Amino acid sequence: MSAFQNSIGRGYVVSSTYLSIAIVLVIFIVLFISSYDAFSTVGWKIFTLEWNPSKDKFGVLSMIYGTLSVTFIALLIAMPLGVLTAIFISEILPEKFRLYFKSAIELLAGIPSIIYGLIGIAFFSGWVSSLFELATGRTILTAGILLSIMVLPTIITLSEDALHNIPKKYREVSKGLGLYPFETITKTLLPIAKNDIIGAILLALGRALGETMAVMLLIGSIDRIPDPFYNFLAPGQTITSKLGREIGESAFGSLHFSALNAIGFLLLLIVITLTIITQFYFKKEDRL
Amino acid sequence: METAQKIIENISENKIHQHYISISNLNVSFGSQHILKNISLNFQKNKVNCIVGPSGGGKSTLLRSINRINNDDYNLIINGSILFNNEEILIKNKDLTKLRKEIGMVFQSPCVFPKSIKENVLFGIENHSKLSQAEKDSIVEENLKAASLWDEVSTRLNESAKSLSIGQQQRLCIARTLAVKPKILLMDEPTSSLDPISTEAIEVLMNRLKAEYTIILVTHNISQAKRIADELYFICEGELIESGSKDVLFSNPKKEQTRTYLFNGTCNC
Repeated sequence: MSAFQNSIGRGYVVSSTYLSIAIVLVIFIVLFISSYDAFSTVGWKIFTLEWNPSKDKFGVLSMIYGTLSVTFIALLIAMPLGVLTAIFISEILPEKFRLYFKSAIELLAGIPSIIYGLIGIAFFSGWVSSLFELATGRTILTAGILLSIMVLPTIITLSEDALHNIPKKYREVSKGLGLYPFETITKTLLPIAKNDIIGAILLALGRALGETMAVMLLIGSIDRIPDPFYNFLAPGQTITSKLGREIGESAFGSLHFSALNAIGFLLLLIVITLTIITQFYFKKEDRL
Repeated sequence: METAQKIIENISENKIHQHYISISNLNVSFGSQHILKNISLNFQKNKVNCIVGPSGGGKSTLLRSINRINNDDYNLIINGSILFNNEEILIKNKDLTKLRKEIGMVFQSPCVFPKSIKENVLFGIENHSKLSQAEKDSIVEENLKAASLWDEVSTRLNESAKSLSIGQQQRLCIARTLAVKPKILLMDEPTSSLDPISTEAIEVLMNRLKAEYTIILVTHNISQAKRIADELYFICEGELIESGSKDVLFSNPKKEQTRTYLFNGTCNC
């Protein structure tokens, strides 16, 4: 390998890194520029409830509420289910079945979200409406449940990898000190895998916040915060479902279009803030 | 009559004490691979029982059968009998956690948890009994002293165990095992990844520990066996070739294979 070849390789790697950083920055900047109109016209009134493009009223509170509550429900269901499944596959299931289980679960991740949406309309909304005796099954809860299934493969696969990558000697030391298998999992393995599992949940959170199609089909698309606010059996609206429904109807360059860009910008801010908080909170000191 | 009874009792008690662990007709296979063939031997109490032999001969498998740490290994087949204090270890519903509290193990490469030095020492014992802060402190001090590590780490007990050198980490692992208060220490080539100075520290430590514990040591380092062993067991290709006290085996082995291995380091089994 000559020094010249080496410098080409280095240049390639370095420029790829800078390029991906640049893409993130460009997205951020472009989104901000195209939403600037809305921010400057509407101002702080963007944090109100009413959304009515014909009256130039663009309040996004109900959408932020919808996004956060759907994500909350999804993670509430998917987190314990996913981590426990990961523990089962990695620690309890005999090694020879592991790959079959994992590929089956990874298959779930490959199903297009519109298919999930169709299944949700066909079954879930019907179940929810008959179970709770509602007029419509298209509620925040339905969307949250469906979303939890969609993010499960992310949590399971990555948490399972995190657990499975812990060298065998840690399990043996733990067993050798007289810990029960259950204690080995909770006291030895989970603390070591903790940060990677949190990473898995973060990735799932990102997917839940950004998922559009399935949520749009199931959430009911009504811009309001239910009363009381924890009544998840009411229809709602998420940022993504709003964007998905209205971006086609808005004229390019109009205030409406700019306002839709603004809620996209807010979504990006939410994702970035949550990521920074979590990474700051869980420092990577306990790594192997 | 009464004295005769007492003498018999004494003899039998002595016997138990001398043959602390008694293995007979032990066969271990992994699938179709026959690792240990008809091993019968006794380990002596408060001695350094040293298992020597070439790599891949089944030394570690023998050691790992004693506290059944290999219990969950896929397609393991184990037959025969291992008596510990006259109790059978190889029965199906043996309480393995209790067994492993009594038969502690130190592994080949040091394996500390990503926690502080103090937490590492307490890791096993903390799960077995509730401890007050004072008890914890005294357990940490006592066992780090027993493992000859106290003087080096007493001022930084709350630092990460990963900050220690490899030799110190291995002694921390020994302290962690001692904290559970086992009766027997299984040591699987504990010095093979260490530098000569740390190796010496651990050899001195083993010599000191045998007053309180029974040590079963696996090593492929013949000079180490010569330095610290009391009893020697030569295992080659899954068979026990010869066993006896170190002095006898090094001065006058009965079998030719033992002589070749101990003096030339090669194996002609």
